[in-house]
Amino acid sequence: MLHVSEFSKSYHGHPALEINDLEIPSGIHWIQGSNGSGKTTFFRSVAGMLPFKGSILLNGKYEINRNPVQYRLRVNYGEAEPNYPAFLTAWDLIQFVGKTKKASTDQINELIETLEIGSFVRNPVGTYSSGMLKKTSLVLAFLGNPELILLDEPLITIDKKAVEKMYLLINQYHDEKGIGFLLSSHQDFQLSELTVSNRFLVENKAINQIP
Amino acid sequence: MKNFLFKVLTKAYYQQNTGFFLVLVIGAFGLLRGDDHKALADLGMNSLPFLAMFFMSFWVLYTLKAIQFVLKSFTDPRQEFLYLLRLLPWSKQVSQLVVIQYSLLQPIIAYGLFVAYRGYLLEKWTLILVEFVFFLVLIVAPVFWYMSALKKPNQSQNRRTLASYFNLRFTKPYPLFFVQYLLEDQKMVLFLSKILSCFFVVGVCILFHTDQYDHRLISIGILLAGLSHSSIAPLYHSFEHEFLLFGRNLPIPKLHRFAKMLITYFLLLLPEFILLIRHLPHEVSWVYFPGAVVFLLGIVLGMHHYRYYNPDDPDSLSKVLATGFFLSLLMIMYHIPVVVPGLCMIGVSGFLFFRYYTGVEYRVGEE
Repeated sequence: MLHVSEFSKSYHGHPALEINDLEIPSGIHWIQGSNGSGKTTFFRSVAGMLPFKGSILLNGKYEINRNPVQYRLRVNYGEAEPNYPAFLTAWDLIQFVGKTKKASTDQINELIETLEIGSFVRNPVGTYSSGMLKKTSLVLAFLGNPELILLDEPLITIDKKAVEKMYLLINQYHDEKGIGFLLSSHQDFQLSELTVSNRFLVENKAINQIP
Repeated sequence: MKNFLFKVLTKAYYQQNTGFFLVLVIGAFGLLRGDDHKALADLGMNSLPFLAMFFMSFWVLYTLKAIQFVLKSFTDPRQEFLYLLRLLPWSKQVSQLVVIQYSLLQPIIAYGLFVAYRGYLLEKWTLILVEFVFFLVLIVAPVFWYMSALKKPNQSQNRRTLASYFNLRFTKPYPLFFVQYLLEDQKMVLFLSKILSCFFVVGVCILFHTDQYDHRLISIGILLAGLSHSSIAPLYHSFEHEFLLFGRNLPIPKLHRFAKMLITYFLLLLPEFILLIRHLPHEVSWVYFPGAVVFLLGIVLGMHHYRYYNPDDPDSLSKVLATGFFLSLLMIMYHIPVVVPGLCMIGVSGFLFFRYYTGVEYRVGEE
């Protein structure tokens, strides 16, 4: 699904993450690591939000720098701590992102219903609680027809009911549409209803698969 | 604590407003000679209404800009620690905030001293006293405003009914995101930039009637109007970095991204275009107008896109602004149509965008 090669990311000249060669197959994968280990840096780089050296190839066809539009059409990202302009509504954001990701109206309505954001979708983001904000970011992360969805700490700040819906949604998108997932969380996915294919550990500025 | 506040508020204020001060210096010392300043100061010291209308109104506007910056810093979620200030004893809060306010008002205090010195030469003791009291109010009064704001953290935002009406019926298009951000969160920066910019546009159009030699005077006014937006470009970048970082994950071709930005700036410059249409002297051909539009757009796009090449160096931006100003001035003085520098700047902006947009480092929430 995802092939990362000769990847290196530095901040102010200090190396943050270096990956010589990493192949992540299709499936639901759990990216583990302590705070500050580089999980978000990795996610943001794969999402095309951070510049880096190296190559990231999706499904053997779409290279992040050579096919920027096609690649981004197929890779979605849900932020750990989303931050949106206070005056925009979730509806404004969904319409904007949905249009670029080519999401259908039916999909938008389904996601709004599943994650139960309908009651506040037309209210400005500045009035949201952190949980409402997180749910909005999760809706945005599922829009369109991605082949890979990156969810950075998808379970934080949302209530138990929303967590169950999240598991349901990830399983549904994976089983029915064949979408791959990279999830980061400090919670144990092995105790959840998700079928985690592989676990990767971000440590010492590198990513390695946990046997 | 004082050093800490100085770093978070004063230093940040001057760093973020480098472009604004440069335009102010160019406007105040490029257009007016030393003798003009002396004459204006003498006028102010001879007449209280003139002092109030001309100098004090400007000083109040500047102070409001500084106040807005501090209040904005308090509400910035990354700087919520500033609310801890209220844990200090009352007298310490006042003294530290007075020092900060004094440091923020340095440019107008320096000019105020010059005006007072002219008053001293003219022996206008009463007006010097009025000016002294006025500055005392500008320094002390905002401190109580700040302390009141510190007592009310995380105030819920009461949205207007009209806004709710529009939210229910319309979806905001992307080019309006930044415009609305300025209108909602950066009113004072927008207001001051527009006041300065529109002043230059209308001013040169009116002055043109006294010097109908050629278009150069109007072109210089447009150049200064464009540079008046130097505070807007950094805000656009920080807005994108802080709130629309996810936009980089969206499958939007670079050409579309560039076009959206062009539309945003076109919308922001609409007041200047309208004023230009309204006040363009009859002696000036209408053919000049599209060239002026391109020139004005080129200047603001140039200021915006330079930051993709060098995002974190305000000093370098000042140098580029100064160089750009003198190069454009040279072209204007040599009768080169303004559409030429305008197209050049749009071209360079496009190049910088396509070359550097994806390589710009976004340093928000690094892990």
